Amino acid sequence: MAVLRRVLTRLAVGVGVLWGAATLTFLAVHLIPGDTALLILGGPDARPTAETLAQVRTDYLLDQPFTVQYGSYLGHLLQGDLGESYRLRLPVTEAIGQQIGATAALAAAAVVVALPLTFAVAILSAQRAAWIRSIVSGIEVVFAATPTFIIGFALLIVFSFTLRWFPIGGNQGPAALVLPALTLALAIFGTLSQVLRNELEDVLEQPFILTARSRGMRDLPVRIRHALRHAAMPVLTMSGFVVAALLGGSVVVETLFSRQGIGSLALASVYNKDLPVIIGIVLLSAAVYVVVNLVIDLLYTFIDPKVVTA
Amino acid sequence: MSSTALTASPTSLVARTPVVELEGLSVGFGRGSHRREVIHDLSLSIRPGECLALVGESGSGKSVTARTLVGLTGPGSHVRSRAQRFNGQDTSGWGERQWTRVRGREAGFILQDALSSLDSLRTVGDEVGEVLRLHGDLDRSARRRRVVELLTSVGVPDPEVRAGQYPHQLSGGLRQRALIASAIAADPGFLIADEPTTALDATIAAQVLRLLGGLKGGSTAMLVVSHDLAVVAGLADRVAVMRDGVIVEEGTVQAVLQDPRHPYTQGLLAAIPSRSSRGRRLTIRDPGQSKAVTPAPSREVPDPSTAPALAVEGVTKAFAGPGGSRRTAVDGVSFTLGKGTTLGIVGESGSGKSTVARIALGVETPDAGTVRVRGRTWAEHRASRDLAARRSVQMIYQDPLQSFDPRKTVRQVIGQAVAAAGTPRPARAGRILELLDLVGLPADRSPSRPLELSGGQRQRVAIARALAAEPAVIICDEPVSALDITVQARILDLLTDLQERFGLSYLFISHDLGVIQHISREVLVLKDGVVLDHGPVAGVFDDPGHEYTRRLINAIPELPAVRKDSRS
Repeated sequence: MAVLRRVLTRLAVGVGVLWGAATLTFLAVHLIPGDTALLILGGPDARPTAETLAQVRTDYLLDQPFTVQYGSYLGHLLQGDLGESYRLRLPVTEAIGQQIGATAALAAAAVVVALPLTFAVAILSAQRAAWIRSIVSGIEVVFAATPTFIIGFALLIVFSFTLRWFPIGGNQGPAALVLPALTLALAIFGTLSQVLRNELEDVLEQPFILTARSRGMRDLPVRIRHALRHAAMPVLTMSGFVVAALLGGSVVVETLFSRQGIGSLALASVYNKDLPVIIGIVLLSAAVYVVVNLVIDLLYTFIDPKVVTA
Repeated sequence: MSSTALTASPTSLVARTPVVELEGLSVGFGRGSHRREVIHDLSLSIRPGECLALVGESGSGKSVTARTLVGLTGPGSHVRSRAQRFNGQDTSGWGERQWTRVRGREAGFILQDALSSLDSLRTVGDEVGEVLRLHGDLDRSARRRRVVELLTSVGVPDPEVRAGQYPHQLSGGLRQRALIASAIAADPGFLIADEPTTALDATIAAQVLRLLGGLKGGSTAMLVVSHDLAVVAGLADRVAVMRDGVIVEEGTVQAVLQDPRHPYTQGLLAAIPSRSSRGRRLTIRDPGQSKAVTPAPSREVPDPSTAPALAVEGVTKAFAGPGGSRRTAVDGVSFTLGKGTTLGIVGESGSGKSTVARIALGVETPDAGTVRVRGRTWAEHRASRDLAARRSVQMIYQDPLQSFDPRKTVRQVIGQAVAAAGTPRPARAGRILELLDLVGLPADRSPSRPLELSGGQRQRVAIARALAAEPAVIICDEPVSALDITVQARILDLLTDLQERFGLSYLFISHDLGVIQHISREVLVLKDGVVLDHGPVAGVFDDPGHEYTRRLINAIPELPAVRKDSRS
């Protein structure tokens, strides 16, 4: 019952966040200087006639007051209508729908690599000899601090140009997914693993760890069965960072490896001032955040029995 | 000497192989030049059916020794010994694999503070059952039944319900019992209890001690680690007193407690505050305090007939509880504190003692009732902006660290109080030195920051700060509870000296009845915000008016017939 109320509250808050995001993007688009009608017709180079411009203004309600435009915008949003891409002449939902699969596959592959790597490295390196910890954390710092495109370039040079194990780019087959996913995963691992190890080392100092050891539990099971759950909570809170790394990173990685996906769509839309698509991608990102945070919140209640009673 | 011979262990025990044996143990932490040795050439052995107590103050190495016995010395440790045996097996070269077979199954470990010693994210049943999962071949439902049996055997009521709950849903006493159940689950022949009663209220601690007492006997060997001689006296057969990583004295309980040979043990025994220690110094000699102890003529002779220093009448205070309910923390409490006297307030956690202190200090406004200082209430003092009255009541806390700005030096902390007391600027430096001298702190400590001081030194700074205002009343809220016994003795002696010298009145709050009996003239027993007993210490303790008071008194762990002439 308490859990259900919690979910409903969170959902309501999530809808509020989406509405806020929609409103902010709408305002931003209006504050950008330039003639929207001209953009719709393909920019200044298209040299449209005055009649065409007037026609477009009427069709897109551009001659109407601000409030009417905002109301119509929200009304369309509620029906799932994000408008039509100026550039692709496609409904925005369709334009995004065509690309989302590729990015989802990339993000999923990156998470599948990053999380086990993070957990394994942090669990094995926490509270170990000083030299092991300095080597491991040195590697992590390099991955966390190096820009994604440099990691990607380095991987390309080693594994594509030199060893020729993986293709240079494109969307063809799982082999093409390996290097882009690894690029994203390493950046996430670099930060997350440091946080998780610090948490683990704090937890491993706790008396209940000593109790578990005194029962005859071995070191690795103690770390996994007792320490990990405690240490995972702050890491879970960092899922927002992970989502941001995946969304932002996909722009860079998809461009670098010339892959299709939301990232390259976003970049192309920004170049061409394709406002409906940009709004669509912003709303999609906001929705992903809301859903991820909702899931995380529910996970807390499963991990920590004190969350429900508190 | 004859008593030592009479109380020697029965020969039947001597014949059996010791459960644990250490010979020439040294333990160090850190690497290379940073290595610090904390245990030096230590030897001990415990036979089946025997209970050894390892007694010492913080930093004496008693916990490290206990952990080393089961191979849990900790990361970064360096253990050396001439011999190290467990049940006759040589354990000196043992690794994780061998130790994990012994831990839990042959040796159970009970830690203090069961809230953090149990995994807060797992149910009590899972925690107790873990030992069975690791060492037994019981299936899930059999384990669950066994857990309920174990919880029942350690006196946990409603064991089925409790097994499904999380540690934070249990009281401190029940958690400690659950921890004991987890340690004895696999029926080990050797139990280690590290400060098993330290975090508990007196009546609960007494119950846990009885439970532990019931576990020894038979062939079970036990090691009890404690800072409190009185706690181990009723439980142990032999006592080993540790200081700075060395056992300074070892023998049967009677021998060590009645005829201590080592000066440190003698000091430790003399430092225990109790009824019989009233009017006597707890420390044998304290060189750091030579100036402060020079008897000074009392400015005011204690005289109860004059107006009281503090008069509390019928104070009541309720706080908002969960769900809009109101919880009465203090209910109709009245007392007067005579000039130059000490009133002790006793009560367990949640009894309302700290709320009474805050009301007396005037920082909490009671819902009903009055507090009079110098004949007028706090509200009247506030209305007339009487700062002198405000200054005349000061307070010291259990943990002075939290009441200091960590970035300020001792000189600044006291200087601030001296300035607030209205001391003219040119006289302040001299006054700071005078205060440091009064509380027995060397002047060279004045540039130190609170974190660089020991617990006892911090409490001295807190007392100096309170004295800066030349108060008539000092409210002491558990001022010695966090201190080691010998440090506690020095602070109690200091408080007594200052009282004699300046005619101070103390409102002294403590959960420790020994401390209360040592220092107070009158005592007030508080439970659930209500005064149950109130009167002179002798009267209340000899003839308690209330059943609860009687239970509190019975819970005081007693030292068996300590030889009186060792304390003169």
